[in-house]
Amino acid sequence: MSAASGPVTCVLMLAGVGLYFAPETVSARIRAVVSDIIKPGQVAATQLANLARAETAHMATRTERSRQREIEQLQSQLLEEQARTAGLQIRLARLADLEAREAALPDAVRSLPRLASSSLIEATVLGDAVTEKWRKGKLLNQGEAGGVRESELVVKSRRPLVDAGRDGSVSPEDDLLLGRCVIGKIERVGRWTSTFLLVSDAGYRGRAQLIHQTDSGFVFGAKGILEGQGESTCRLKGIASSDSVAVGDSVYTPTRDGFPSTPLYYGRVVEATLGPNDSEWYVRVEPVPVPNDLKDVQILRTSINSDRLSPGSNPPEPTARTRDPKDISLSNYEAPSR
Amino acid sequence: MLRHVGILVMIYLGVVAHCSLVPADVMGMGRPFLPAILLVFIAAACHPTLAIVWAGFVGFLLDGLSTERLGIQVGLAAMLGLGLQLTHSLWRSRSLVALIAMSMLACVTWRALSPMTQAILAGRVANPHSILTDAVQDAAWTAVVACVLMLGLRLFSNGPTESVVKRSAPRWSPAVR
Repeated sequence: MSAASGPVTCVLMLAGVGLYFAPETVSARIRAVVSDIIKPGQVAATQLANLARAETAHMATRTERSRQREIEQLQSQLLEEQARTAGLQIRLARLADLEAREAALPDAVRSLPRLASSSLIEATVLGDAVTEKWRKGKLLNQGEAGGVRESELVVKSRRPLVDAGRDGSVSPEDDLLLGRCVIGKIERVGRWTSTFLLVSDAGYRGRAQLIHQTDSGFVFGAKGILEGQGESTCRLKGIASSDSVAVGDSVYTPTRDGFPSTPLYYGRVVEATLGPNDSEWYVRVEPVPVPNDLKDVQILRTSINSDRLSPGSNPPEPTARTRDPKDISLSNYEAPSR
Repeated sequence: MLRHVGILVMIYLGVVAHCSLVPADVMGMGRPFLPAILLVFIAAACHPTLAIVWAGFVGFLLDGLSTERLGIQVGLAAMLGLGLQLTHSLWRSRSLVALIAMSMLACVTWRALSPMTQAILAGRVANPHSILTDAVQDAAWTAVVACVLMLGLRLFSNGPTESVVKRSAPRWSPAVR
């Protein structure tokens, strides 16, 4: 400590005493001066503090927002994965159910040949000129005098013809296919030819089922009746208001409704409306487009195994089931392996 | 010269921060008293006589901003400046802990003597217990702030450490030997 510290301190204390006893005006002036000196700093400091607070709040909000966004993304990913898992579990459950049912069958039934089976036969749509001649019997060599003639039902009908009839074991209601899609059905069967209805023709009726395509695969929906209206679109009836339908849903033949076991494609839903008082959906379906020069088609024929029907026949030896020569399968739907 | 400008700026910023940025009450348990830290800095960085003058200046600014009568803070600050110089030989060569401890001591002294002096001079009754409790609470917060400031100073410069002490100390002081 220096020698002048004491005196300086005394001077300052005396100054303090002087200020204490100073008149009010002097005090006020001193306060004003000090206030003016400090004020700019105070204003700057306050503004800086407010700026820092706002920036911190903004950063916190941004961090919070980005965190929230990340959480939402993770939640949506989680939901997608859960939906996918649920879909896979459903498929797994179906396969397990099928496997369990087959395992529960006694051996003799499992190895029994099928009562009925389906097969495809190639057929050709007869052109207008050929159809006209055929109906007039001009194409049969022996003619009417020989007692050989086509069925009256076929002859009198104005529907188009295919060149397969009873000689090809064709039956009424057999589906008419173009590739893997149903384009119509056999209406009347003659000896050598048959008439057919297209799906869009008035009078066509066929059982159908909705199939929704999801990320986890196909989901089977409600079943109904597909009716031709004589227009470009058909009507799908019998879908209750409690079922779900959406534009874009696919329409197939029902599963487990006959043969084959794999559904066949009709078309897609282009309109689905439900009024407030309606008990069923109003659904319009756009069938598969049929070319104007339709020629080669397939007829899905169902035939009965005669061995199963012959009277007094011994129980057939257990044989392995054989697959149909032309097996139809959907890209995402596979029949369970046995 | 530059040092004095630096000290002036430091005092200005310290007083501004004390009036504007330091909340009136931190969690209901007092507030930091930045002028005490200023005095310790000045005592460590300045010639003893100048340190007392600067301390008086700090007191003068606080007087001008307070609502009490002028002169009390000037006198107290000058006395504290002298007291710090008297005890300087005890703590100048020590480190951060000593500086923080002196800041706390200066704070307790100032925060206790100021209201008591005002009460005595105004003829009011003062409660020594509550005054001392408030003073200790303020001293605790002051220690926290002093620790942060001094650690920050050490990171960026030498701060009021031994080299500064040596530079400012007179030749006869033990720190220089």
